Amino acid sequence: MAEFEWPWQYNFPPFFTIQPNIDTRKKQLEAWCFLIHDYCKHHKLYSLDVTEIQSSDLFYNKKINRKLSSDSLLTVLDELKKKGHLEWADKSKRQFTIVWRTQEEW
Amino acid sequence: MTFMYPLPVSVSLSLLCMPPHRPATKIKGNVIAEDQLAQMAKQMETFKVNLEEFATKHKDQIKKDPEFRVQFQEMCASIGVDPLASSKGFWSEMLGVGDFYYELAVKIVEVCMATSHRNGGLIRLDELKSRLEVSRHKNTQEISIDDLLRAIRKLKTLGNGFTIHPIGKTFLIQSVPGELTMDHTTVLQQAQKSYYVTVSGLVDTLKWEKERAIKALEYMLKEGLAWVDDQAEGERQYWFPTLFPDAQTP
Repeated sequence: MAEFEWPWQYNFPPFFTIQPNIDTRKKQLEAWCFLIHDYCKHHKLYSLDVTEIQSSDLFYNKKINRKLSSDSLLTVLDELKKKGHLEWADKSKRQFTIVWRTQEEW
Repeated sequence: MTFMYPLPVSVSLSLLCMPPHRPATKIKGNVIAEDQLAQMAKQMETFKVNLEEFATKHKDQIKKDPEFRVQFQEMCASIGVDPLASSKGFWSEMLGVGDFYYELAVKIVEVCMATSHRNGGLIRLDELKSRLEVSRHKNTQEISIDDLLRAIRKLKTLGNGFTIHPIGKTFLIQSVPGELTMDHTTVLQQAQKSYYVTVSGLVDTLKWEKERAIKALEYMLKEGLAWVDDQAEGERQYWFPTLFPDAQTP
């Protein structure tokens, strides 16, 4: 399997801090959604656990010692849900499935 | 045409006291000046003809060789000819230099628009160059930093939008209107090596008041030029995607 290609943002430390500027934050969340989507597709993941995924390299770049906090992660996942690429498996938002293609895309 | 010095009809006392040869020198001086002027104009004309001849002969080289282009442009500038002023001019029609720069300008606009979501409309000249090189075919003309700056200066004719900011040894090209003051470019200069700055870092190295540093950084945040990193040790870091290297453009 070819190696996953990280976007430039992944090595950019502020990417792991939710941005205060609204426009910048919009771009940031969009980039996160793309990244999660591509990452899950590449590794053929669809059913995920929030706690588990939080410590995976997707949200924790050890090389630059930056990770997404629980709050930030929820912000990102909510954005993904809004775009139709995520379904929560439970009410407490612990488990979720990634929808590689939304219904419209099928 | 010879200019006649008006001699006074009545010679006053004060004039009598003056050295008698003065008006004559003036006349002579005028004649010499005019001769020189006429000669200069003739020389310029010859120079222009020669330059045109030269340019026609070396057309291909001007198109192909970026260094040759610089020299040609400098010669033109020294005699006061702008080969890029109009696409209908002799120079651009004969040499295609006009087309070359206008095409380059269009490409520059495209690259700046395509990357502005990432860098807030501010791009390093070397990144711009390597992105243009990627989009161009391998066997087309080489482009130089000088060509880029020339094309960007022409873009300024279109009005507010394109600005060139010298930062250290290189340039940042701003493609969205917005005021970048000396303070902001100084901040960018400080961030050139490590890609980020901190408030206390600016206070220490620039001897700025804390408020001044905060004000500059807040503005750059607002304009989307800076991102904050709250996971750094010590204090908040302000990062600049414009300066941050992109894996796609080494």
